[in-house]
Amino acid sequence: MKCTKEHRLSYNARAEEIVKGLTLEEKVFLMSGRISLEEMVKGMKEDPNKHYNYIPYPAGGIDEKGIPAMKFCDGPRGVVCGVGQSTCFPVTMARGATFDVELEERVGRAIGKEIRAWGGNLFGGVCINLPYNPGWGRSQETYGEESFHLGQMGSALVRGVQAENVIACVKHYAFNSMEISRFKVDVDADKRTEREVYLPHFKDCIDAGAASVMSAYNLYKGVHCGHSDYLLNQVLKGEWDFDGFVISDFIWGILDTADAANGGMDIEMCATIHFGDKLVKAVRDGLVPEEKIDEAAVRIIRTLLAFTEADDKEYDMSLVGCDEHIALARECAEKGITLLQNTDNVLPLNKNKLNQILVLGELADKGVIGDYGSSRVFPKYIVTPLQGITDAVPNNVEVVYYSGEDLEHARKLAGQADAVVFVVGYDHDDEGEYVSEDQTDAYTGGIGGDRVNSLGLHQHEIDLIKAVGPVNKNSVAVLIGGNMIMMTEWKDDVSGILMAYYPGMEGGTALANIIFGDVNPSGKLPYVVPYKEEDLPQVEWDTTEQFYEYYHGYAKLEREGVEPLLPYGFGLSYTTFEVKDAKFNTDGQSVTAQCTVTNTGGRAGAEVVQMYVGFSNSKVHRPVKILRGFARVELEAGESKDVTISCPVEKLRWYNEETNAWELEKMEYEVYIGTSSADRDLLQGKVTIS
Amino acid sequence: MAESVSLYEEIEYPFTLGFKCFTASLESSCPHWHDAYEIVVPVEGQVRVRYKGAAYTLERGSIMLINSREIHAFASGTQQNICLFLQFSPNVFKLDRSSDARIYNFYLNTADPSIRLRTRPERFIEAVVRIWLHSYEKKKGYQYLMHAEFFRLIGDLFAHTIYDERFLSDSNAADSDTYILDQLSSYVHEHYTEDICMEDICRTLGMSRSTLYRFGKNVLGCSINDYVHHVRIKEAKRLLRRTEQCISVIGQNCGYSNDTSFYRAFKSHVGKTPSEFRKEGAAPSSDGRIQGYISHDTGAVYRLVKASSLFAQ
Repeated sequence: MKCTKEHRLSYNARAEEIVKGLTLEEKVFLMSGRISLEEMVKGMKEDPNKHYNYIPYPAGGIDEKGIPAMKFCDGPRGVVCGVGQSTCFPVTMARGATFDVELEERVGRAIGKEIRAWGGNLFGGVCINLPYNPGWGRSQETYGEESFHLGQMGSALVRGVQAENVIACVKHYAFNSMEISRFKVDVDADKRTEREVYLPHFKDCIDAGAASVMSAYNLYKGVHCGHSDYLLNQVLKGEWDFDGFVISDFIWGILDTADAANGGMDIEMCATIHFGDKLVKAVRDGLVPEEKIDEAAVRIIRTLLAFTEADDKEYDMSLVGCDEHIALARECAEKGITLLQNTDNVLPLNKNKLNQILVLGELADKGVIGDYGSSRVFPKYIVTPLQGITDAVPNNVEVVYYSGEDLEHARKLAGQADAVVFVVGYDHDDEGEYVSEDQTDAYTGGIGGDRVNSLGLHQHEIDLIKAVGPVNKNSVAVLIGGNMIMMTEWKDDVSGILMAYYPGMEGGTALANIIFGDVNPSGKLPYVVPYKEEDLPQVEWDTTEQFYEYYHGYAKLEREGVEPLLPYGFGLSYTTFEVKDAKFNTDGQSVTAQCTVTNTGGRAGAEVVQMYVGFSNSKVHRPVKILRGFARVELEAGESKDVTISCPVEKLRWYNEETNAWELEKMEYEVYIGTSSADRDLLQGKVTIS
Repeated sequence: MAESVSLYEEIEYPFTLGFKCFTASLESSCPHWHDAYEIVVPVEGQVRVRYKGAAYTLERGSIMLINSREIHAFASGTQQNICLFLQFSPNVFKLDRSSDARIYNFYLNTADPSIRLRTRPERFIEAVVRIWLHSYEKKKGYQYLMHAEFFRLIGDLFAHTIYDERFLSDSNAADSDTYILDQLSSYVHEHYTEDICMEDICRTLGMSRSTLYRFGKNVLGCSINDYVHHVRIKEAKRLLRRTEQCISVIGQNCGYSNDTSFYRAFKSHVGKTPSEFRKEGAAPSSDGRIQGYISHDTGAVYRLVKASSLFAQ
């Protein structure tokens, strides 16, 4: 990556010099977007191809002064621009399940290349919000429930995108984990929760070099995040020494000119509503010091100059949706799709021994790649699960598809088939980005929102699985969705369960490759699956206030001694792995766990080895254990590899609210290494930090 | 200078429409199959249909849809019948599915009580009647009304019947039902004049006795032996009607080694002896162009349909 922070700061003097030659109006012009809401809506109404962000959305830019415009391209499942061209990757949650930072970096490079071809220079798709409750409708856009993992995966995407000299914008800063109330909810949390749970992954991405941050719509402690002196000026630009620029979330991201400018907002997106003339006036009226404007202008100019001048490579449109990127989308799906249950090794199905395979469920015949909000990518094709399966089977195998509406008919078909695949879960109407009724003009047609009623399947899908699953023991449920889907009620009615997330444009191909064993599944759950929804933190979805407790997800269940249905980090394979010879040590700078992992089964596969650290000796309340490292290991049948995972001791600190400082406890820590967060899958040792 | 603009625009149609509606009196047919979907609506009398290993009796007020490429056979019931037929090509569904090779299977058969409909069956019966009336009356503009009725019927199939979808990339795969029937049919038609034994069929078709047994039971709805008789009797009927050959010779030419076995088989399949059949044989003299369909006076059918309860104004 050429555009490191150091490189960017080397443009500081030049940027300051340019700013000196600008009028107040010119400086303010740099600080807002040039696409009005009216234009956006008008374009959409005139022509469906002119969807949200169909071209990069510009902000600022003054050619005659040598200042490039910022050109925004949304994500994260690919580049939102155009119709029928950009590569649609699996959603972020599916990529989180790969636990593969190298792969995510390659995704970042592919996205960066496509953005360059579209003429953009900023990727607004590094979404790393932590879902307090998995019902958050946009949690498909993030990597999972664990802050450490979010930080690692998000940093990989930042590195990849910026390697192509495209600015990575990390969002939505911060506490943005509720959708339907996103414009009004005031989130509160205690300081430890803020520092240990909701902010570290943002800092990780800043440390990885991210050059831009997008603020969240919601409020934190009574202040809109886009106005937050605390979050933007003090923490981000102050404590973390962030050198880049902050942009607002779109249209409703800031609500007051002076509050936003003084709070540390550098660019209002994507329209000029509260900045522009109003900001000029606010400066003239003495409500905003001109130094704030100068600082923003310098941040914007030095960042854009550094990235714009980093190379003079041409990226042509043949890169957009190219074969290599589509193959990468498939690879992500193949490595992310997670095998959750495989009773009697029902999977993989042997396609040469089948005469007829029955596919049930409306989602099988739909190209479901996620919500219809701002992250919607428009690829040239989508392989549905049904298409993936029909393409994969030999010519003499008959595939029968039925929606599943009539349970008796479905049972009859299941009785005749050699195997049954249910495809069940969600689409854009069930979860996703949501614009409330008074703002229906914006964005698109999906209903979306949070999963306010249930984290389970639709009742008709549960009825279908329970009625038809027992008829055929070669039955497999494929789950489509952006986050945890409850399984307790129906899991025993099928033999196999695969979590497919929203697997992208090549999802159907990847799914079929896994179902028929051409690919050995290796995804791991980036969230915990509880027996009961009540085991998770409870959220009032339609609300103006929400308190985020310190514990959520697997850490909450473990702290409370509640056994999960499936632990965080869990995922099965068609082969078996053994972890042994664990060794744990520390040199005072970092904690290291080592082990030998062996593929003890009959075929090649990949295992995600995970390191957790426990705090039972702590003098304060702390999680039983939390993830502090992971490594994906590919192993041939019978092969062994030594795995070493380490983590800097800073990541073991806790935040002392009384001293407002991070503290590293001098004590003995438990360290674990293994294949999921469940104790039965881990080897344990101890290290002492003195 | 502006380029010259052509007013002519080449329009490509997405599919070629294929359906036909006609009346026929059904006698009997060998098990057969075709790409076309077929809807049978009896106007008078009874017709027996063997379909997917079961036998159904249809009469006025019944309707049955036979799906594309599904093997079926007709036989007349105790009374002579007249039926309306609507046959349509799977290409019709290209309006819905442009690329993939899915075949829709609709479940519409009033003679099978296990099949649920989300509407009154009359909705479909009346639609077929109206399509046929348009095609018969041929009033100015009838083509448009007839096509409209036809497409409404297709839409109603999706809206009101249970349907599933089949994908078979190679419909001539060596173990598909239609392939087996083709092989069996050509063997029997080549050898029906001779003594046919199961061993020969199995050997020639490369199939086990149990596979053929299952095929007969589940697909043809009759044993392989019955199928052989069927082919022989059909040929015997043709010879009885159209030649002066003596009955024993016809029996021998159709693979029956003696008169007794010929008489017994003929009686059991046709319900009368060969000589009785020949005496009455003057009646429907058609050669049965299509499998089992016999022509008749369509004017009479028209009057019948118009007068019947099938025709709701």
